[in-house]
Amino acid sequence: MKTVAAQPPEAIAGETTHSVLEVAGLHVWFDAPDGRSAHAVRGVDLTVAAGERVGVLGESGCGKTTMILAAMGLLPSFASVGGSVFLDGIDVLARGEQSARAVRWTHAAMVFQGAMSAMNPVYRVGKQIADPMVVHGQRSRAQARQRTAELLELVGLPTSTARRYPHELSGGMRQRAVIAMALACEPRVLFADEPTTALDVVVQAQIGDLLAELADTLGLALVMVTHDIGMIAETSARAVVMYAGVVVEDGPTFDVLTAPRHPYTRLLLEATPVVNRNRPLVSIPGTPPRLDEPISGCAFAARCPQAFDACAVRPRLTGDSHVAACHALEQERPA
Amino acid sequence: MSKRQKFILRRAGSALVIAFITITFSFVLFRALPGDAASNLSRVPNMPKEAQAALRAQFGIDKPLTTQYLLYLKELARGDLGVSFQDQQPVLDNVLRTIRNTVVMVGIGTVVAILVGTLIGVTAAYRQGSARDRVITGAAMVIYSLPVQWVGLLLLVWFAGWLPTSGMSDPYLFDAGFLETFVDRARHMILPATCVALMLFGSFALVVRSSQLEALGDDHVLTARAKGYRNRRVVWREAFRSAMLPLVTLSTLTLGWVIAGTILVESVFTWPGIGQATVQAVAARDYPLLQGIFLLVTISVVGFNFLGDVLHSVLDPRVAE
Repeated sequence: MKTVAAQPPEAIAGETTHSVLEVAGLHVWFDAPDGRSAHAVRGVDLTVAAGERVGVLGESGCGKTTMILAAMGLLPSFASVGGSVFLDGIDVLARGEQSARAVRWTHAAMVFQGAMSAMNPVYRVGKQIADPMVVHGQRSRAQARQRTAELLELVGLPTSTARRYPHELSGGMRQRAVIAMALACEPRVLFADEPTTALDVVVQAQIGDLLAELADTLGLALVMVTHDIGMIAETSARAVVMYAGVVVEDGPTFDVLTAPRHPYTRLLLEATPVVNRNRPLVSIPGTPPRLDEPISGCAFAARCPQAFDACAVRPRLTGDSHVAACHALEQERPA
Repeated sequence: MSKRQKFILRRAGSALVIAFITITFSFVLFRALPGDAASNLSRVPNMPKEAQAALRAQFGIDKPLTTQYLLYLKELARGDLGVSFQDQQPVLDNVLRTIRNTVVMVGIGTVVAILVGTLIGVTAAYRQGSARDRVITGAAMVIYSLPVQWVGLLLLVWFAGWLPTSGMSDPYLFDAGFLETFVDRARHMILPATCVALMLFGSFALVVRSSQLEALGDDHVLTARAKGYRNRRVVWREAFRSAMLPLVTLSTLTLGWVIAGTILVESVFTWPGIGQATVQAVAARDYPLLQGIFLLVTISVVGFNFLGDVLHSVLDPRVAE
């Protein structure tokens, strides 16, 4: 991962000292070998306060996973990153791999998408939870083993799980173990990348509840990336909607889901199938824009039923606690 | 009994069966060849029929095949591999004497090849597609594809004068102490062992590179990086550790053949090992010696395969499932 000379981060209004994650002007390009590059994240600002639970919503390829990987400096070498990320006050992108390693697991940890493959198949679960504590010099081997048992209990697994191998656990147990692993070094921020895909519905709800509960009891900021609106409703107090690499709407979950302001959010919610209501499935016509070509103006304009001539200019996020990036809103309530 | 113990026991059982089948097979094969020990000795002109018959009786090859086979198994069970047709010495002594020479030389070359190949493969995979990767992968591939006897001859031409080029000891070294003998043997071993290492390291480098590349893309390696581990730990203890199975398979397969030696290398450097002994035994139709050599090769190959299975189940807990 290369760091590109960053634009000066835009000052964030009302920036507070207790924010644990500050993403400002984040851009990510993936460089293809043929010289083209895909602009996957196109200027994202996101501030998360300590203990806050944020759900990041959006369809596949909208840059949500890329954003959280960039926040921990985990993008592959063919990615270029611009902007700034401060985690717990530490500048993650300042000195490449070195500064990123300073925050990994001790300040921010991550629960990955594939519960099946996030653990090394050849090591016992306990070792994989305990090792980071020893590597980061936080605990002795014996203390780490002790804490591993506590963590396993905390996520609702028997302490004997430490002696099992990952393949001996069910999907739900494995995801609990992965969560225990992420909590090992007492991070302030927990990123969760689609933590419940590949699990059955009942287990999905349990894992979602567990994450929300842990965030509350441990005072952990939770940033959950998902395309599952139900999961956001259950776990997050704040919802952020992304489209084509930008944030299009950001506000309290209840408001965003019941009174969406951005046309994309509205259509996304309408496209969500509802049990017990007999209506045909709807989808949003068209496809997201290609990211390897420059996008001028509003990225959603081509699919938007409300598009008008102002959409040729990129809209800014407007509003107070519930913001959205749409010119139609500015027309309704001129500043 | 744990799953792993059951797995190992099952594998041990099939190893024994395979060894028995191979022994039987090689017994039959040798006797299917045209000509026998007596017909070869009788190239002496005008050898009377009675003398030939007497020889056959002495070697026991006048009896029907089934009787020979049962006798062979009986003697084998007692650890008796018979007597060489060439020098009337017990086969076991002959085989063990030459095998010692081979195992040390080829063994060292093979182990060097495994270590160097692993190092090169992991290094190349670390920056896939980089200049370093292309150079070392290309070089490994080129050397791997060169004929071994030709590489041996090149070594002879280049290093003759600095290093001994044939045999395994200096015949004019009299009253040498332990250290002197050791240095002499080591110097004799450098060229043939290097030749073996050159012949083998390419396959290890390529196998390790491809399995390491696959492992580096695994999700759990991303987890390891997210944990804040240093690159060295991520590459070796996470990625390489989970990508070792192909390396173990290839290593144990190759080590199994160490005992068979490499006939070409031993011929180029006139190394008095099992490879040379095999060539001579074939020329002389020395069944007992050949059978003895084949037997040990069989045991070695089957044994190392079994060792590979055991290592697999130790290295990856999913194998025994």
